Order: sequence, then C-alpha cells, then structure tokens
Amino acid sequence: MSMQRRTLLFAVLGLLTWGLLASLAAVYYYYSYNDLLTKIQKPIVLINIGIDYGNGVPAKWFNQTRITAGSTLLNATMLVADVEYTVWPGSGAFVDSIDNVTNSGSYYWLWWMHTTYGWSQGQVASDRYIVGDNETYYWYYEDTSTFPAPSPP
Amino acid sequence: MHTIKLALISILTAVCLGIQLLPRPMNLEFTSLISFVTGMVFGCLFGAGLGTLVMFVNGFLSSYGPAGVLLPFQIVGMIIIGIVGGLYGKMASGKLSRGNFWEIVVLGAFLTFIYDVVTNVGTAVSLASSMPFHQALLAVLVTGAIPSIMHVAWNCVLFGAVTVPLVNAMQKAVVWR
Repeated sequence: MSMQRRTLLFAVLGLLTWGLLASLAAVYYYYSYNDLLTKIQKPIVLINIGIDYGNGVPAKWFNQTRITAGSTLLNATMLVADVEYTVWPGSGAFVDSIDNVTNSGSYYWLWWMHTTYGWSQGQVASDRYIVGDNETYYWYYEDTSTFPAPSPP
Repeated sequence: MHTIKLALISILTAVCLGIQLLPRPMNLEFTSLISFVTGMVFGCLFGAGLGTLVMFVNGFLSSYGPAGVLLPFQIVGMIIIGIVGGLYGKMASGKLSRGNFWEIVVLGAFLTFIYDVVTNVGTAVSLASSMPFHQALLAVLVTGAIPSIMHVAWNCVLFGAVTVPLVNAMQKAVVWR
C-alpha cells in the first residue's frame, strides 16, 4: 500500500471514529437536556419507591414521596431510608447498604424503574439519575451472580 | 515454539489477567492493548487467543460480576482487536518508528469504539426480553456514549504511549533469542 493511501486510510478511520462518537454524544446530551426540561417543569415531584431487602418479605413501599424537582434517585432514597454509599470517580455513587442491609458476596443493591415494558434495570448510578414525576423505582437486594440480574417480582 | 516466546506470551497473559480481574474503574483496562501488541508481535492467532482467554476467565471472575450473555460479545470484540493487531504487525513489518505513532492511536480509538459497539449489542440482547431489540440497542448506544468516549480516550493515551516502545522491546527480546 502506498504511503499516501495508507495516510488516507488512517485519516478516514480517525474521522469516522470521531464522527460516530461525537454523534452519539450529541444524541445523548440532546436526550438528557429534553429529559431534564420535562422533569423540572413542576417544582415538586411525586415518586414511588419500593425497597426489597431480599428476605422474602414483600417490599416496603413509600408511595407519593414528595421531593424537589431535579433531585436524584439517591437523594430520594435517602429521604426514606438510611443509605451508605461510596463515590467512584467517573462512575458515581455505589450504594453499599440500605437500612443496614449491606452488599455481601454476590448480593448487591440494584435499582430498577417501572417502564411501559415492565421493570428496567438502572443504567447509571443512582446519583446520576434525576427522578421524574409519577415514576416508580425499586431497590432490590438481589443475587447478581447471573447476568442479566433477575427483575423485581 | 522458542522458549522465550512461550515465556513472553505466558507473562503477557498473566499480567493481562491480573490487571483485568483487579477492582478498577470500568473501561480503564489494559486487555485491548495487550491483545493488540501480542497480535502485532506474535501474529493474529496469538493476539486473538490471548484476548479470548482473558475475556473468558474475566467472564466468570470479574469484580463486576459474571458477564453472562455479554461473554461471547466481549470475546468477539477482543478477537477483532487481536486480529487487527496481527494484520497491522504485518503491515508495519519491522521496528516501529515515530511515524507509526498516529496510526496506532487511530487504530486504538477505532478498535475500542468497535469493541464498545459489539458489547453494547450484547447488552441490548440481554435487555431484549423486556423491550424491542432496536429500542434496547438505541438506548444502550446512547446511554453508553459517555463511557465509550472515556474508554476511547483512555485507550488513545495508552496505545499512543505504550505500543511503540513495548513492541520494539518485545521484538528485540524475541530476535535476541
């Protein structure tokens, strides 16, 4: 392959990577911005939070919990339970325990949200998710030794 | 196979596995670099083989929990990196110079992006039981954009800083034998 062609090939590869990543980031920020605008329309939002301690007892529900718009799920959870967490740089808050039930072995606290398709596992740390009006969340202390983790009952 | 080659591949695999299994921030990894470099020095088969082995073990012992459905996608992603490393090694043939620096940075970025896309497809497959696949894929690609940018940036720095001196040192060691 001639030097000129080789330079062109790597320039195209570099631009392609940059273009695709920049496009995905633009879509992400566009979506996040619109999502945030929707969520802060009211000064106070009402949410439902369920906490399942994984002990076979039905989840404890905190329905119609009032919280300031723009609050995160972690803020909301700390209103209704004792939460201990560790902040990982770049990843956000990792919940270590809720009401003294601590991560142990393969059992961890995961958060879920109810969507039109059923329960959906949280894709970001709870301190990175802004709660929305009438949304329903579920903290589930569960066995994570399988992937995907089992959804709430 | 020469003993020194065997020893070098064993050391690379052990180092790679050790780092991969350590608790560390997600996406800050050395496996893609080591698979790529192994491919460059020892050929596509060894690069892809090392990547496969490391991701297979990682799939069961990772500090982030078992990979499950994601495992074959992680392996395929790493095989691609090892094979491209081998092909680039043939293309570069011989001692790497400063001229190879930008090519390696671009390849590092591109391959990391491809790896992230492949593993994101795996994540979408795992979510497809609760929502349509195309929606799951779109959601995963968009929410994964920022972690992917961090992953690509990390690998650009890593590939750029380490590949040329590491490959030259490894080639010197192999030729010396």
